[in-house]
Amino acid sequence: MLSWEYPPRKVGGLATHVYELSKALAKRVEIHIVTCNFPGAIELEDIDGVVVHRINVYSAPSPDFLTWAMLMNVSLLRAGCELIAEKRFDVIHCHDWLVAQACITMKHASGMPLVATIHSTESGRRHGIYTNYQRVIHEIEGWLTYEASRIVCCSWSMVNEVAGLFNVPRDKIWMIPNGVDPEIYRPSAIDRSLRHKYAYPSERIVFYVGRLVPEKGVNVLIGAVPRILSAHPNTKFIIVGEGYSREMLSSLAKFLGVEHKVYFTGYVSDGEVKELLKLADVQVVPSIYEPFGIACLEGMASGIPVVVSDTGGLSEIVEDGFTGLKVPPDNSDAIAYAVNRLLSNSALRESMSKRARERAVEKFSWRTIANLTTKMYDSIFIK
Amino acid sequence: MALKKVLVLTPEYPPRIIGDVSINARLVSERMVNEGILTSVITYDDWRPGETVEDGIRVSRVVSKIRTFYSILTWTPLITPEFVRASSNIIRGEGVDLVVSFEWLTGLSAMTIRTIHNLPLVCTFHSVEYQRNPFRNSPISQCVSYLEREVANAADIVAATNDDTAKILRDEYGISAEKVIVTRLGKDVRSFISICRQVVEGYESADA
Repeated sequence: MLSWEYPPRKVGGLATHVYELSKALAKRVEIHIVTCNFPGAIELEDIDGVVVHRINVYSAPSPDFLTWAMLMNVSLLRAGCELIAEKRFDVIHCHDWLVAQACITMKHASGMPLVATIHSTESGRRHGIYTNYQRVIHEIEGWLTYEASRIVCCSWSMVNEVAGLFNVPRDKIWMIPNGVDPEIYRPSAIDRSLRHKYAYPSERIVFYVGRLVPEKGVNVLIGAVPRILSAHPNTKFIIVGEGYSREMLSSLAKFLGVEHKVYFTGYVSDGEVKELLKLADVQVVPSIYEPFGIACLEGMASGIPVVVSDTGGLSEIVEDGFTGLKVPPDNSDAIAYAVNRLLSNSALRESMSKRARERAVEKFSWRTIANLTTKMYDSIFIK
Repeated sequence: MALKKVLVLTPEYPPRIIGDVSINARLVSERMVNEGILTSVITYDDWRPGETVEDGIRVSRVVSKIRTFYSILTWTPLITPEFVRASSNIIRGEGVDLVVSFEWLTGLSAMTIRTIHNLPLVCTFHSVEYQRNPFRNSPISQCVSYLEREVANAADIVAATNDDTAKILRDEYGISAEKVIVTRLGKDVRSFISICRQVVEGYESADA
């Protein structure tokens, strides 16, 4: 399995996905991960039965990200080939375009089948393809879907997107959702001292976690803050995560006069995110584009009522009015209305939290996901 | 065992001629065929994709699956899978005793093939980035130098076509002096092929 991120190196949800999936798969198959190194991380280690090979990918100075990605592939390819030369494998599993070049080359060199998980598309992330930079990535994604024997998408929305963008035959796409570890997110007593760090005891907490980039729609959530505050003045908005939109989002909060109520934490560790989730009264996932929405699933598993954009994978995870509330994407008024509805009705919050947790545990455990993934691998070899 | 089947990887090959590489790849291939060596050439050519036999040389011309050109540093890795695909088909078909790669542009493919198929590799360098680019400290130039060094390190023999290039490979790139040789491909193809034969014989005895 090749992935450009794997804990402790985390950029988005991909690292968690690959970590949890490989850990669950390791109970059934032997699995090796080839990934980029990270300061302080061990080059070769066994994590929960998964052999992780961290490769130095920073030897060459690169003028831009795309070039860096290609040179990263050169390093991962060399390591992958050495591994294939010394050990027999059955399948190469590629996660996203970033490692496509190495995976496709290994496929042709070794004759092994290739499986590709497409976590999102450049066209989706950018709302279209406008520059040569984006076009190269778009073409690599298309090429990966062409070369792969099986394609995994994490939601039906992604299945449709990938099939439509790249003319992929539907019978080679498998919909296997992302998962969540129900034990890690089991609701438990909150950490009062942590809560004091972020909000007064009388304040309610509305929570967002994710990258601060335009496709996540955090600006839409901040746009809803004045309306929420007018109905529930004792509310604090905790925005967890980093991204290049942070300055713009801070300016927006200031412009709306709500900067004292919006707290940008910056990057926080996974452990702290789990604790912060427990403090939340409502979690909002305001994405404009969301192939899956793992943050929403983690909120549901933590027993937090969620308000999500009715888009992509979020539409499929949440049952409106039952396990959460859906709102039209890019609509601050709708977010404000839904959050106010939840903050005003504790019975609704409690019933939704309970059902959300049940749904997350039942449908999205990593054991279920690993079962489906093994079936998908088997399908390659069954004639 | 003697050298009987060779795989030549070159970024250019006649009629596509950018510089000396194309002509020299053709000269080496012709000479190989004349000496009774089954010779397969894999090259890049957007206008003539497919497979032909030209004067006894089997020539496969591959195209990049990525049609948008961004930079040479993205183009080169992105065409590598096509070179590897065409090469692996030949290796799995009739087998190959030696891989000869021209310049760093096909070196990435050659490195992969060498590792996976356990084949000896001879890489030729007509020049290196250090000579070509006066702005050798620019990120792009440093990246090219980095890749050239990787390719040269992976090869069993590094054949420079002139003394200057050989010196830079040894002194600046840190390539082991024992494996850097000078061979004037345009004038003396026979000695290059003789070196190729020695590499195969040496590789087999080392393997045994």
